[in-house]
Parts: sequence; C-alpha cells; structure tokens
Amino acid sequence: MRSFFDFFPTPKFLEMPSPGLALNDDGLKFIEFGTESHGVSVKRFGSANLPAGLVESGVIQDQEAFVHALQNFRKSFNLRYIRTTLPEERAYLFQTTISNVSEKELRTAVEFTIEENVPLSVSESVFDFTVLPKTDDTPRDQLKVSVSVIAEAVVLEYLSLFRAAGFMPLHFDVESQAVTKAVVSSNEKDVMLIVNLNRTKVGLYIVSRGAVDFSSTVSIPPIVEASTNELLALPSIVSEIKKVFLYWQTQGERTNQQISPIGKVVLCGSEAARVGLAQTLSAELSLPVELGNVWGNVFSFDQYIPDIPFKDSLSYAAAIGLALPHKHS
Amino acid sequence: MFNLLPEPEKKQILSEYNLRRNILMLIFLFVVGLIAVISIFPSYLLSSSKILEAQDGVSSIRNSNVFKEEESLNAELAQTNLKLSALQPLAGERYVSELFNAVITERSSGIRMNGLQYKRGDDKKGGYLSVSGVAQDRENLSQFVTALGKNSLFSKVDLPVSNFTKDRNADFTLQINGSFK
Repeated sequence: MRSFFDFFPTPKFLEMPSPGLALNDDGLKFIEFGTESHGVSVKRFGSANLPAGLVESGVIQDQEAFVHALQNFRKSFNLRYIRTTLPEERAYLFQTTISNVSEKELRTAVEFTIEENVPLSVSESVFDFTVLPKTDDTPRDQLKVSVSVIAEAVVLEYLSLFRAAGFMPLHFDVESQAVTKAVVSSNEKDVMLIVNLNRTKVGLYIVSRGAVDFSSTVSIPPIVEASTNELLALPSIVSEIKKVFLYWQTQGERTNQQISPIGKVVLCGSEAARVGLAQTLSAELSLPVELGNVWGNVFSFDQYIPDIPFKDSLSYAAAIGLALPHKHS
Repeated sequence: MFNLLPEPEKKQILSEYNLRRNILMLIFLFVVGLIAVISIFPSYLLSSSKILEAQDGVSSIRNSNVFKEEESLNAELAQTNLKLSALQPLAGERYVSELFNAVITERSSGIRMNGLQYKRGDDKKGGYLSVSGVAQDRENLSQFVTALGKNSLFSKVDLPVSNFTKDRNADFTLQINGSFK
C-alpha cells in the first residue's frame, strides 16, 4: 500500500541525496538508490581503483595524490554529499553492558566505558553506539550496546581530505558496520562470520544479533596466481578465520557466558565470487559458506533486478550498507 | 546507525539542513502567494472595470440636464425661500397680506391703486404702509382716507393737502402708520 510520502515525496533539495561511498586500500565504490513506483531501485553506481600503495591499511601515504584521485572520482560522477567509510584498521569496535540508565544519560554512560576498552582517551576520540536488542539472557536492568570508536585525528584527517576534494561527508562509518548493514538481515538472530574478501586484504567480522561483535582486518597475498588461477591466498585466509573462531570460543570462556557458536560464514567483497572459494572454505571450516546477498535489505528480486551483476555486487557491500534507505537501517 | 562525524560537524550539517528547510518554506510561501495573486488577478481586473464603469455612470448622471435643472431649481427655490422668509411676519406681527387686504377692502370704485409699499418697523418706531394711486375725484379720495382712518389696524393716515389740488383724476400718495402687531 502506498504511503503519503509516495504521493508527496520529500523535495530533493531537503533530502540532500547522499550516495554511499566505500573507500578501502583498493579503490572507491559508490552507489545511490532512488525511489520508483515499485520501491527502491539503484539510481547510479560507479567505481575507481586507487593507485597501488596510495592507501595502506587505512593510512594515506600521499595526501595530494589521494585528494586528486578523489577529485577525479567526484567530477566523473558529479557527487557532493556522501556517506562514507573510515578505515577499519584504525577504528575500534566493542560491545559492552551498562546499567539501565535514562536515554539522556546513556551517552555519558557509554563514554565511561571507552577508556577501559580501547587505547584512546575520550577527549581524543570520536565514538557512536547503538543499543542491541534484548535477548532472554540479558538482565532486565542492563543494556547491551555496540560501540564504535576512532581517533578524532583520523576523522579530521579524512574529513579535511574529502572536503579538499569537494566532497561534503554527512556520515562516517567503519567498513565492517556498513557491510553488516547490507549483508545481514535486520531480524537475524544467529552468530555468523562475514568474510569481506578484497584484492589485498580480508576483513573478518563476527556478527551477533545483527551487530558487529568483533572485527579483524589483515593483509593477504595476491589471491590468485594469474597463470594457473590457483587460490594462492586461501591458506592464509583459512588460518586467519580459524584464529577468529578460536577467539570466539575463548571469549565465551573468558566472560563465563554462554556464547552461541558461529553458525555460518558469509562471503562478500570484490574477490568473494572466485570459483570454488566458497566450497573450499566450507570444506576447510566444516561450516556452511554462502555468498552474501547485498540487496536483501534493499529490495526483493521479485520486484526489481539491478543492473549490477551479482558477482560484482559483492564488492559494493560497504557502499550499499552506507547508502541504505534509512527505514532499513 | 553509527555516525562517527565529530559533534561540531553534525551541528554544521544540521544547521545547513535547517537553512534549506527555511529556504524551502519561503519558496513555498512565495509560490502560494504567487498562485493566489494570479488567481485573484482576473477578479481584480473585473472589479476594477466595474468600479470605473460605475464612476463613469455617476459622472455622466452628474453632468446630465436633470442635475443641471435641479441646480437651477434649487437656486430658485432658495431665492423664493429668502423672499418668503422676508415676508414671514416676526412673532406677534400681522401678515402683510392682512394689512394689504385691509387697505384694499376700504377702497371704493373711484379709487385706483398703483402702488403699495410696506415697511416693517421695530419696537421704537412702528411700521408704515405707503399707498399710491389715482382718485376719480376729491370726494372718493376723502372717503377712502376717512375709511382707512376708522380701521382699527391703523393708528394714523397722512394725506398731504397737495393731493387735493386736482379735482378729478388726482394722483395721491398716502402714508398709513400703525404698530401692526
């Protein structure tokens, strides 16, 4: 059934359309959604590679060249307002439990937990949090919150570079959060591992109750041998995944809480659709491994088929998570 | 939804949003005003033309003969009213017509009057009537003067002796005094 806003949509001038722009060491990817008669659709999208070594583990090696690359990208797609990512490697994610406090006091209560969880002082960091839905084992007088923290200097550095390139960032998020928003259904209850596999690095995110509980990003060797098409990086990826599994098991023992085991692995990222990767990983980990559906929280394939092939869409996971219409987030 | 933008930046975005909202409201009000003006304009033209038409009608009526006749009629009426008010006796005074009637009643067939003048007097000095005419003979003139003298309205009737110099068709002028109250 159509709503009032389908007939009288918010003016574009007021809506300030802001595509999701995902930035990582490999390059830039953006996507913008629009609204049509059938619902949400892909309005436009695009990508560009960054020169090798320009951004390494989230550290910008040459600011001038980075701004130039951003400017070129902005001009080619006529972008201004964006929702973008900050480097995963320079951010901290944690979940903590705090006493039930009023909504006004919640932020202050979360602020007190920062210094005991991350190696940053409150004064030199920027943080945001979300309250996780209560489960049967959550005490009534307590709230579980998921917190993202990053050094203010990093945020200001990225902000100034984006602005120098002519962008106006409205929103900063970390890649793991953005990918989770795209790949994980909002009513997902199971614990899963998201493997965000890109050309030079892999992000491993444990998602519990729809929120990122743990994230780790590691560099990997080139994923395939060009001549033989052999999956070269597979052993190191499996090794990293097993380390994360181990961490998750010990997390339960350390906190004396019953933690659900990781039930499945979801693959996304530019290299996720490599032939045989999912099957090999499944055999190595003895767990179901599937390719993520990055459109699942945006629209149904019964209503709309996007122009981006499924294989390529996996690399847009972070951009989609950033650009998701608010009602889905 | 996480947003790791620093607070000052969030406030800046919010203020820009508010600015855009205000601009949009002003544009909306302007458009509504414009639509209202455009909608009212035909009615305005129609009513303006009707006002002009009515003003033309009024001025043409004012310039018409009927109004001009009215003006002359009014002037004449005002003049007549002035005359009437001049003839209107003051409180306690007799009507002029009553005095004239009294003079005319005493006149015999041998007396022909050709002038009657009335002067209204004041408290100190009474008024008088001046009667001029032609008498057929001395006897008629004498009888006329005697009859006037007997009338209770008049206190004194003056007829100069020179009026009796001619025996027939003698011109006479006599003055009748009285308080006429």
